Amino acid sequence: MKSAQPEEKSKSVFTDFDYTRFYHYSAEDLAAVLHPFGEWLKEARPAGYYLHGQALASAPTPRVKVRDGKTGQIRELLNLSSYNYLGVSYRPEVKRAAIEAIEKYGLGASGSPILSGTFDLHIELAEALADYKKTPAAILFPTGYSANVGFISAIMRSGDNIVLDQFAHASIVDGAILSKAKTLFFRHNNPLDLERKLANLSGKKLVIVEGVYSMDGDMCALPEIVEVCKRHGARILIDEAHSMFLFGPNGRGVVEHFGLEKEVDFHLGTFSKTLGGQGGYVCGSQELIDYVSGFGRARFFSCSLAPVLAAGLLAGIRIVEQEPQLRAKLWSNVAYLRRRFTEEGVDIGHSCSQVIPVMINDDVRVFPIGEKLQERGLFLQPVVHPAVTRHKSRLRIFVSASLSEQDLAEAVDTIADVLRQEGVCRR
Amino acid sequence: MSALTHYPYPFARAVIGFFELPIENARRILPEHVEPIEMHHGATVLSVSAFDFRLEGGFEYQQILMSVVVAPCIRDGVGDYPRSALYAFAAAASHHLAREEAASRWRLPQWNEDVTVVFEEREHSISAHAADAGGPILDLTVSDYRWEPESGFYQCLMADTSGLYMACFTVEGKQSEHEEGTGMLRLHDHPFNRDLDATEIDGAPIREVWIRNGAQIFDPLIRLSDA
Repeated sequence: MKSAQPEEKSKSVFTDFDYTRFYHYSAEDLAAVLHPFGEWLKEARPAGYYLHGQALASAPTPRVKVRDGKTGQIRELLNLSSYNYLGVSYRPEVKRAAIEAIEKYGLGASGSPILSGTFDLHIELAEALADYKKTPAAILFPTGYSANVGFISAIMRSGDNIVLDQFAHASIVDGAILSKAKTLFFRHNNPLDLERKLANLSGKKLVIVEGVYSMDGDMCALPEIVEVCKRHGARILIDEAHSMFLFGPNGRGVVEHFGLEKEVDFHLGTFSKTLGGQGGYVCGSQELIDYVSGFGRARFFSCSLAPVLAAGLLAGIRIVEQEPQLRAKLWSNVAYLRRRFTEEGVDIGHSCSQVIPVMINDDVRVFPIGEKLQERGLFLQPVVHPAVTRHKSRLRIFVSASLSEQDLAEAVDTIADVLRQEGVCRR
Repeated sequence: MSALTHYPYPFARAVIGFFELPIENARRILPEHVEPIEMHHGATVLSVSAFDFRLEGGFEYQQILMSVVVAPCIRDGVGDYPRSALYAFAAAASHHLAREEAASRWRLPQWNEDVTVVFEEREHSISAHAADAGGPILDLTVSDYRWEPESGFYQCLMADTSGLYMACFTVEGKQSEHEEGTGMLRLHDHPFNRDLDATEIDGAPIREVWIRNGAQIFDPLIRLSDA
């Protein structure tokens, strides 16, 4: 065997890596990864990663003041990045309720919910939520993340089985890990693969799905998944983080949209998305809520949701109940964007919700395209691997009912123009 | 580049598939202190590759290699930070000279029979069928996506009775890489696959790589620890 001449190795560039590649490492010093990660970040940040985590200097309204991550200057941009799907978080009623609560209760709850941290506002909020969801009871968590971690680890144990959609949120995965149950993943929204995974399991089985998936904006194939679960005796937990207050005739989520409210065992969600607040919840029977109250460690080893938030969320739920026209406006905005993007030849993937990915499908070019869009006045961030599949990078839009038709037209015109210049548009 | 010697292994084509592998299966394969990466809770990554080597001087041979994707090693003297690290636990080649070099120079665990690796190339996919006198070993298919010149720096860990070793290497070539899940792996009931529980490996790949006219360029072997 004969070897060729030695060759120069090409210098690696930041696009050779992503965050995950610095997660696993073996070394004699736990700080060994800091330097290579820092070196990578020195290249990655100015090349586009600075678009993530730019500081806001105003409320998350349709026009938002953002401190440019590159220049440090405050710029006013059209906001396509905040959840706040119904635009209630900055409504005068919500702010007034929060101000009154802070005058009455001060800043925080100053205690665990099972000791001194439960306030009358928390009880009122849980009751209002259960009433909205038409369930006997509800329980509150400080965040959506802790709702998943706390609920899953409260009800599942070592030796049990959890089967997750592969695109399940990190909080669901972390809850499964903490529960110590055997955890399997089925291919995204694929009832056949779920069937294969469930067929080999014995003992307690919990299948976890989301109402709307946050990266593609696609909806759970709930009827087929429910059918498979029933056949295999598996309980179902649905996380309606991106669908509660929006889907269904009364906004009770994807379960209501499909008429499957009674078929799904556990209903979980967050207040940070549609209501633009903070906190998580589980709705169900009183027995379930009592059990989770007793064993949901992520809840009772945390301080309660701040009363100021509970007050604002209560006001937000009242608005959502009394103003169904907000949902109608949101869906009208979504329909407008879908139509206009399709006309302009912009690829929006498989979205059927208010989460609309603008597909770039190029893990390198997505950053300069994101920069151009920001320079042209739009606030939206690139999403790259590992958050999405390799080569499926995109810019993700969260649509709000607060956006006017003029805002939407500006967004489509700007995005289509930039993508056309970049040769990404189909037309 | 340093004055160290480098060992290039040019190849006409390479077919690589990455598959979910239960962590418990990986731990049965890996030596102590070599940690599998966890792609998601309970699952690591199995890499199955087939290479069609064309060395200088006209020497041609084929190789199949199975690896577990493991945590990269960061310490003084092991080179740049790699894209990823592999622990190679099973290799087989079509020629005894290739096997001898792989075992003596690179400490790769070798299957001591000649294998035949037949590459079946179609317009948008390629299959590698490996077999020996004992029967078929594996069939691996990947599809293409977008072809681009690529160069990536990796680590390969190997162990034999004398210790744990590592070689850093660069892979260059015209490459297609994607995660569309269109390929396929079939592991036959063959002793080469004895370390794997085939019933727990999903035959649909999580990533597929196809490289044309490339080269593996190895840095010298580093001894990490005694056996």
